[in-house]
Amino acid sequence: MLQRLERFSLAALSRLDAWCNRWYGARLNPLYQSGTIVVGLYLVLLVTGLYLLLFYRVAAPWESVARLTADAWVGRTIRGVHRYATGAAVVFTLVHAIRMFAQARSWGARAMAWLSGVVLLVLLVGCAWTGYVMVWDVFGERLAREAARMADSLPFLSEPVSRTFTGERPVPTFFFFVTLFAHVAVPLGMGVVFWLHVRRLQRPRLLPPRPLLWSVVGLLIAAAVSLPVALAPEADPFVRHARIQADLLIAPWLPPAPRLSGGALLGVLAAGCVLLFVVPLLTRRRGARQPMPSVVDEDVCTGCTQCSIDCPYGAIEMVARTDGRPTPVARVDPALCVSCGICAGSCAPMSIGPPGRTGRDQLAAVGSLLDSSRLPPSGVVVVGCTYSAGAFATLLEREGAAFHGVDCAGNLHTSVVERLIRGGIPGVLVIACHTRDCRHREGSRWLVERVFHERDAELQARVPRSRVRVIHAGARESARAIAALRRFIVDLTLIGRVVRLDDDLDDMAECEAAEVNEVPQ
Amino acid sequence: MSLRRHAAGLVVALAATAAMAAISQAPVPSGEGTTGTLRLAWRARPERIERCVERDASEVAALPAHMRQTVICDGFAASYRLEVRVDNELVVSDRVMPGGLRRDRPLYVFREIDVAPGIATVDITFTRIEESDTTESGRDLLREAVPPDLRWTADRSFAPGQVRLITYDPQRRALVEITGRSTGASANLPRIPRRGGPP
Ligand code: HEM
Ligand code: SF4
Ligand code: SF4
Repeated sequence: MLQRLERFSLAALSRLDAWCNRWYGARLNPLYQSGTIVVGLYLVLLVTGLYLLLFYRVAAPWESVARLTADAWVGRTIRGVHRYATGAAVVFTLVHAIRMFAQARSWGARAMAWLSGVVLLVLLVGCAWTGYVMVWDVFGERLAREAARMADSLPFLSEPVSRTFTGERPVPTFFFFVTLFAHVAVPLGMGVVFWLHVRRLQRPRLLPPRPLLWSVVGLLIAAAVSLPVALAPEADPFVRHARIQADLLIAPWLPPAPRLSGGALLGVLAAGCVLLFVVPLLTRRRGARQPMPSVVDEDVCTGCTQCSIDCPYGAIEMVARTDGRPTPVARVDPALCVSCGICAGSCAPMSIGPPGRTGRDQLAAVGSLLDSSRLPPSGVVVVGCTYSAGAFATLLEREGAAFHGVDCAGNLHTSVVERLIRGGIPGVLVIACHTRDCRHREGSRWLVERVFHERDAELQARVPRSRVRVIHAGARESARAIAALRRFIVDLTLIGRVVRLDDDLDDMAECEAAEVNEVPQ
Repeated sequence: MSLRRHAAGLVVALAATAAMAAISQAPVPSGEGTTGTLRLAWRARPERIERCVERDASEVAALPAHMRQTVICDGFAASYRLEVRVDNELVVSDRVMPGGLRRDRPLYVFREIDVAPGIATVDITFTRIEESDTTESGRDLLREAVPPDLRWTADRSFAPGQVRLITYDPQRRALVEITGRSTGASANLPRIPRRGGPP
């Protein structure tokens, strides 16, 4: 059931991604950057929150916020930015979580990131909750009452918390002091949980590209100025309002809440959290569907360390050998490995990778492709990530290309490209996901560096780059990929390369004869 | 990327921001405030009910010196029945137990009852359930406890959204109404809570 939901959300997300790519370009697509945008918003909240803190008075909460709001330029705008940044943080956190879920990044070695993410979401909403209570307008008072109602349903409180808000006596200043304390302490706690959240990742990207970050800040300021936040009437225990200005991003459950008892409301919210917490159990792949972790052929490993540098999940450690050779050897921690196969693409001697997906396995697969099929009619083999190009492989084949899928563009070993060209294929088009949309974080990035910037294991200089092209496309961007394929075919024709065994190939053959062949066949 | 796409992107971003801002302060039905509310809230010390037995001289003599007491009392905190009638209709009939697992804490009452707008006759009784033969005059402790029978009855008008609070005043040892002055929609009520006696 949940996996069907995964597929459904992925389809919806891919469509939205494609639209956003058209509007903003893949680099600034906010959907790709949802996690980093939340970090940016967290910083905005810290800065604006510090300013608001200067004016807040626990002894007169509503009055102090009213005074601040009366300052139409600075006070109200900063309050607005603080408020809208909270809403935006909730929205982008949900987008980020849905993305992780849809891309099946919620289980296995990623379970810790998922669980800490749920804690971050709960803390974010909890922090917003306390923030609204601090204002002590009708919405804040309502949130406080609902929290008290839920607390009172627990069997271990001898005095009902709800009595604090009955009007028997004024709400004590101490209550606002504790709320303020929580509002400041929770974000600090979020910092610690966030560290746990990304601890496992190598080179985590924490902030979005600057133009995107400043655009988000600009939009928040524009919203705060043009749609100023209102200050609702002060909370009054003797008045209930039939309509209130509620933040439905924080408390979507508020309108129907009075129909539920405190215990039922608590139960619904707790069940939601529990469901999120058990997602890693429900979505994990078992048996044959469980991808195998990477393994190292220690005899072949030269100890170059490239795989441990490239692994996006820090799953590879270099350890001392036990066979007396002086170099270290790579060792994979299966508990951290997500089976992305990026290490396979990084290893020149092809000694590492998930079973069936090492450089050697890939060479064997294209070898049989070359043996079995004739030259594709267009002369181009498309090597594509199954997550993106895999979705429109038949369309590419209809254009006359042969399609060869890989689990991640970063898994592709560059000698596969060389093997194809040497095998008589005039052009190889690699279709990778957009750099910030790589499911394995860094696959697309490393691929480009290996093909064009001599990152190990680089595409050998002897392979003419005019015959190799790398493009990025999402699953819903077939038109873009087909246009690129057509252009590539035309370019290959123009430069007279769509001829079998042309001069380049002769040159390559000579070159190879003179060199030690680095690519095991 | 064409200028048209940039413009479309800007429009989408502005619309999404405006939608987010609107949702974050949307006027929504609160699910309450369409009726009046009768709120009962108080904390009180329950009466301690003691059952004492007197030992005769021979029993006392048989005990070790440090345990020689002629009267042995065993006690517990009383529970109460709270009944609320609005226009003679019984809307609440609850047993109120003392707080704490061992019933050794004060008792707490917190109930909110919806009352249709208009004038209503409210009748609240709070009556001890267990029998007690301890007389009030005899014991200081009893003076701090809630009396065995409390009653508050009155005709009151209820506006939509208006809350009327009935509480227990330990000084007067009676149920009292507290009213508050409100801002905005119900500025007809005084703001600083003040205590009023039973009508
Ligand atoms: C305050 C809220 C959150 C922030 C600031 C945040 C931020 C981030 C960042 C910056 C990354 C690293 C991205 C990268 O370098 O590739 C990340 C990864 C991740 N996040 Fe979040 N996140 C938040 C909430 C969540 C939630 C609610 C979930 C899911 C319930 C979640 C699930 C994940 C997962 C599974 C990864 C790991 C991705 C991978 O290993 O490939 N996060 N998050
Ligand atoms: S990249 Fe290959 S050779 Fe280099 S350390 Fe890793 S496994 Fe060994
Ligand atoms: S497959 Fe390789 S690169 Fe990917 S997580 Fe496992 S060890 Fe790291």
